[in-house]
Amino acid sequence: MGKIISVHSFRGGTGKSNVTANLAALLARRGKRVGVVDTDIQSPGIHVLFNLSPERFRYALNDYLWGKCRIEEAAYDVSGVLEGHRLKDAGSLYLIPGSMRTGEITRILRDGYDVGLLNSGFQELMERLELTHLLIDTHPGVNEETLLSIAISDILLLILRPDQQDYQGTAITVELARQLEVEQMFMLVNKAINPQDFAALKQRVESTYHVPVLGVLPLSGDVAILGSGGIFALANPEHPVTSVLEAAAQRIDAA
Amino acid sequence: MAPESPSSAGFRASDLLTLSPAERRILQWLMRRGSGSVREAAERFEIPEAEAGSRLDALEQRGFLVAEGVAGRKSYRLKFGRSRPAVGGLPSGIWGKLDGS
Repeated sequence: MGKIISVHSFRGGTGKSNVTANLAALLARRGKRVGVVDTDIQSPGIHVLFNLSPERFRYALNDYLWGKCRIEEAAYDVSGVLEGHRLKDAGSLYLIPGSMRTGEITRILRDGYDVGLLNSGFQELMERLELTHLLIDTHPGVNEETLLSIAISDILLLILRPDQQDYQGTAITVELARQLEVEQMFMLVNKAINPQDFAALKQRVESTYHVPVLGVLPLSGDVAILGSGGIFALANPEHPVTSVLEAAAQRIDAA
Repeated sequence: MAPESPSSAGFRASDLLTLSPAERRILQWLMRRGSGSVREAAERFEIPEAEAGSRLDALEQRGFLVAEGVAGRKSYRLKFGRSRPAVGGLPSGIWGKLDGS
């Protein structure tokens, strides 16, 4: 059975979607069958990193939640981003995007949806696409969707910046995850400033939360220049940022 | 405190934080597998079937589960509610639970 991995941050702007897309691509590059669901229905965006323009997707997660399609009909094969970067042939990458239509986003906010469909959609995706890993890109903060994702996850990956607001918020998420007895929890620190401090920072975060830190990513101008125009780790295989992401993907794969 | 009256709204993920660990584990188990019988629950949690049955029935009575099939061969699945239109809203009790109050 495949693994469900929720990628979460308490606050916005941590680089959560970017990290999710990179980890998904690196896992697929290693021959895994990977799905990514954009459950950030209020502010979807991860499709941009996979070069999937809204004009190209007929159905989105929203359509599935309203019973307009089966979940696999809202899944797009984005394995094309791996071309020229594969280590193994078998890997596949699927994305279930959130709708970018204003009316559909506001409809979710206004009318809600059957949460049971979201839950069964995750399980059906795992089964029908024969996924080894399903990454859930969650909405920042704590809401029903976040709790649902955490509750069904095998692995919870928390993304945080070295920032006092992130530290406090992350403590809440860690506490919730412990109450829900998530099997494995990891952290990834993003947008760290001083490379000389990275080892100490990792140690501080680990000793504060008692959660393993998969790596510390710098605030990178190179990542900013790419501007979500692709998967950074694939475009820059020798970059130090990619090394950290690769190590994180390896750890998740082994978990 | 855990709600004692049946939930007409159905199960919500935030309910997990208000339940006992034993009840919560059953619901999380059903979230992943879709449905389960008394025997399967008893095997999964290594408890007698009578105990598994009474836990499942209690969750059904509280409106979190629906049972299908006849007695002895009943299968339980979650009865989810709708997401709240005001996305992000959570019962205030959760924060109290986190505070230990």
